[in-house]
Amino acid sequence: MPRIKRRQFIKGMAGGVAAVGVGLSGLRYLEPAGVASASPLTSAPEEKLYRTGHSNNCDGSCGHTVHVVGNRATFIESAPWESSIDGKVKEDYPPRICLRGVSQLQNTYSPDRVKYPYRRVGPRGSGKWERISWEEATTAIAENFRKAQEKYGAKSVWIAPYTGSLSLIEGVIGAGYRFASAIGASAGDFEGDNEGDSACPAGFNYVLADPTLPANGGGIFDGHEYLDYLNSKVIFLWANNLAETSIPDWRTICDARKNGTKLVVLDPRYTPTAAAADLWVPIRPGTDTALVDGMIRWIIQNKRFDEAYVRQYTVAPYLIHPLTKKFLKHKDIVAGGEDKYLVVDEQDGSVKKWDDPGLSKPSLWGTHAVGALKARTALQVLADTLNKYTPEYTAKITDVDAKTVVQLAELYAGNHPAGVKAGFGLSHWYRADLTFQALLTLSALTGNIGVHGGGVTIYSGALLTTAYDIPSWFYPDKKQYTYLPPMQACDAMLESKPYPVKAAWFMVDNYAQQMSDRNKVMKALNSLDFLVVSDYVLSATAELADIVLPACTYLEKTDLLGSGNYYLQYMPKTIQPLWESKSDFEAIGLVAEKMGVGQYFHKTPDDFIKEVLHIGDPQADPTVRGLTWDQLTKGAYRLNTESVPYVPFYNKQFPTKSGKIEFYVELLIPYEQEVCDYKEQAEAFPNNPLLQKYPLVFLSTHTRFRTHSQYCNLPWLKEINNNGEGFLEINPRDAAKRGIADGDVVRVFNGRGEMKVRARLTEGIKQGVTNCYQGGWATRQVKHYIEGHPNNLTHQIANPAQTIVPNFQSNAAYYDCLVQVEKVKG
Amino acid sequence: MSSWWTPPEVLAVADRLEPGREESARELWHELALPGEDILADLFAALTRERASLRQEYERLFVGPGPVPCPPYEAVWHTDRPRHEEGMVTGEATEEVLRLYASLGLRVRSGASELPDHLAIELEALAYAWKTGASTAEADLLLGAHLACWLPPFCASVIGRTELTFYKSLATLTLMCVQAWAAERGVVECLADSGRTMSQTVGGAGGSVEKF
Repeated sequence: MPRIKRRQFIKGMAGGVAAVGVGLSGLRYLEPAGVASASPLTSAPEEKLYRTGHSNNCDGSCGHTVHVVGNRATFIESAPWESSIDGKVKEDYPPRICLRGVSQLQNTYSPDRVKYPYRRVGPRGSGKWERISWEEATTAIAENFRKAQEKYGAKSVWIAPYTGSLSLIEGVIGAGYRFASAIGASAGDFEGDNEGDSACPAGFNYVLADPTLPANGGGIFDGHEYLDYLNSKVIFLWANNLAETSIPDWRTICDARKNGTKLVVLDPRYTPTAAAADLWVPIRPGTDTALVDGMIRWIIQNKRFDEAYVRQYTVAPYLIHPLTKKFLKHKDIVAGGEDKYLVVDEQDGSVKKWDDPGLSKPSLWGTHAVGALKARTALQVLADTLNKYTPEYTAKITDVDAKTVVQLAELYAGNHPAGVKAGFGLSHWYRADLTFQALLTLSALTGNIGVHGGGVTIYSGALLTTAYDIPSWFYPDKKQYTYLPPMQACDAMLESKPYPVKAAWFMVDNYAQQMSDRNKVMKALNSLDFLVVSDYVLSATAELADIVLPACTYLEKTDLLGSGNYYLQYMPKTIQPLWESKSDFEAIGLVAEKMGVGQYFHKTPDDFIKEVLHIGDPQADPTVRGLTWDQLTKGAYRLNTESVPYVPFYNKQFPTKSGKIEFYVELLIPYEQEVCDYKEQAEAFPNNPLLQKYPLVFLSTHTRFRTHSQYCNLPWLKEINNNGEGFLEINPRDAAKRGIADGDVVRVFNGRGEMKVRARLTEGIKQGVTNCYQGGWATRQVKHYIEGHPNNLTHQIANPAQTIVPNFQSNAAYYDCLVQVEKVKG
Repeated sequence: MSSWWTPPEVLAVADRLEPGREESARELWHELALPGEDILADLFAALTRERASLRQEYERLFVGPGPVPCPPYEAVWHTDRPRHEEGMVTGEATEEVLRLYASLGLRVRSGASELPDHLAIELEALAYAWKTGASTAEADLLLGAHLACWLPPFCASVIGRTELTFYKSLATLTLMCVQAWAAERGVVECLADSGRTMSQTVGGAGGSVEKF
């Protein structure tokens, strides 16, 4: 190439560049910065540190220190915790983080992120998009929502913010609810959380609350914080895998073991958690209630229960009407009598009102003559009903041998306090409400409710619902959204029951993949007139949208995170939102403005946080009274709680109708569930004739390498997780029967759908049970399963008993699922 | 050249299709003895022929909304990235490039909604540096330590992944020009442009359909 003179070259270059189309006078991306900085090539920008909380769908809620250089987050590590609001150090709270939090940077800086708003320009789900501006997007959303509301009613728009974020401003208690209220729309649930997590809370409400009482807000539930397990003499980990799913809190369980606490793990799989147990019980999945019934029977028969506690704090001595089965009241036997429970005085056998000052000691047992009636005590009813659960009878149902049933009963009753940590794995069942009812009955009989080291916990954090002024946040100007949880919403979309839903906006929600009965869900979403999805990746749900909005990750916006450990974590914005992503709060504000309700979003997130916590208000909720803004933004401060570590019902005040622990549940009489007598699941129960066709139970548990459907595609995590590829865990005997070798591609199917994955033979799963980790993606471009998805197999059959708890009416029973597995030829 | 790498707005495309545009481009190419004149011809021909598909293809290759095969950001394509930057769309290269802009007296507009090491921005900075003529050291650095390093694997990826002649030609031409300019300036190129494996650091955004 001929050399040309330098000056000419440069002039030519400038011209050349101009000739091919760029106007130099108009810089498009860059602008003059004023004075060029001195020796900028050598000076590096300063590093700043921010403290924040990890809000991505995990109630671990770890604290993170984020290192930021310039406008780039470069490193994440665990953050320290401050002390309490009042300045006193009440507990030694260790630092916490896990492999997922550490990998968050790969999430925020993923090249796969949705960068701009898009509108679909082909059939739904066809993958044809057109980039649009935020102005166009929000206008289209406002217009289409208005159209739907005019045509089908205000409630026909379903706003669905979900657990993708557990923080205040966005996600499961976020601004989406405020928006839904403002426009009179329907909204998905917040603590109802019925994609598999509401059955156990329902059981909680049966026994420890009156869910019909407005003061209980339609249902509450509450558990012990993790550090309290250091006080347990024995811990039962029931249907969870803490060593992989709650890694920082597993440390506490390990510390307890070091101190001599015994550990029992109940799980059909041999997990890292099970490996640490003193006793691992591979129970037949779905039969847990029967095992608890067996333990209760043994404890009653062998007088291993806490008589004084039972007499004082439960409905045990209250008489039951033999015909109506309700509590026998004074007014039932005396004309014009009082609405008061009746007991029998042990001293003279007389029937008295429960609060009679002349009562010496109410009898716990027996059938007593009351006028013409023969009435048993509630405890007698329980004992009679559960009498059939001998160790042998229990063994037949649960596949736990009789000796172990007794051993479990002895372990539980013989070590006080005994704590039960019930996993959401227990909640993914049709009859999980009954299991939780049974566990609470067991706990009450042995005096374990409301004591350090005891209780039955799913998770802690309930006090946050009083620490936060939720009504002021959710109901601007007293407007209220109509509550429509995810399973009912599916029917509303498909059958207009209880009313039509024709438009929806999903935020931090991957409904199309994470909800059960995926084929039904896809039909429902495809039937919508208009679908908006806010997300930071093109999830399975976003793929179906009419409009996709680019959301930010939590590093790019301000929020507040509260959690089960009762520390409040302010989440500052650490970096500018990438590309054109915006927080859901901002997106909602833009649409609200166009729908005439913008005035409800004119405050900043900081303003709302101050309002919701009543910062500076001497009448703030006692849990947060005294908290200053300075404290909140500078560290993580522990709320004021009566007990430390937190124990619900420490004061033995129970918000039930009777004020006592109601293991006898009047509201469940129509469902024949007034006491916790084992009932079969909807599908995966022993002796179900369907087993002829679909003989294997199909679980879809959590993996340590993901948080539901987040973190699925990150290089670091895929490197140690089989490149993200899903597989089916199957016992070698079940595999051999089907000619399946390790690594073979198999088809998993039932009447609802099918999927294909490779088989992984393992002794670590019970015969008759299979497992495929949930959360992997099934999108057009990213497939973590060869074909299909675990939720193609699961059902949406709702347990009617739960309807008595307004906020926990239905539940996706993911594990209550039978399948057949066959090798795929060729 | 920068504007060819920005999203093909309808206006800009029409602008380039003005009669005489191609002519003047050819002339300039001749005058500067730049390589690839035949590819330049392909480019303009494809511009007309494939006009309707340009926008979709640009989004599919470079933007989204799903995973993309060729993220046009320098930080992604360095093979010598530190391990802790793996899979991330920003990195030390992003910082270096920002410092370069600063020493040119430039910064990224707040409304730019793009990352600083996007190809269009780097080219824009290069053109500015040459036009103003002041900061030749920085321009050489941008060319030799940055563009010449990452364009070979990036352009190879675009050529391999695109279905349109337009982007094949554009990628080929851009690479040729950058390498020619670097050679002209006597700037030692960062790495030989052959025999180097492309970094697999672009995790899922290798964009491949992850079938098994």
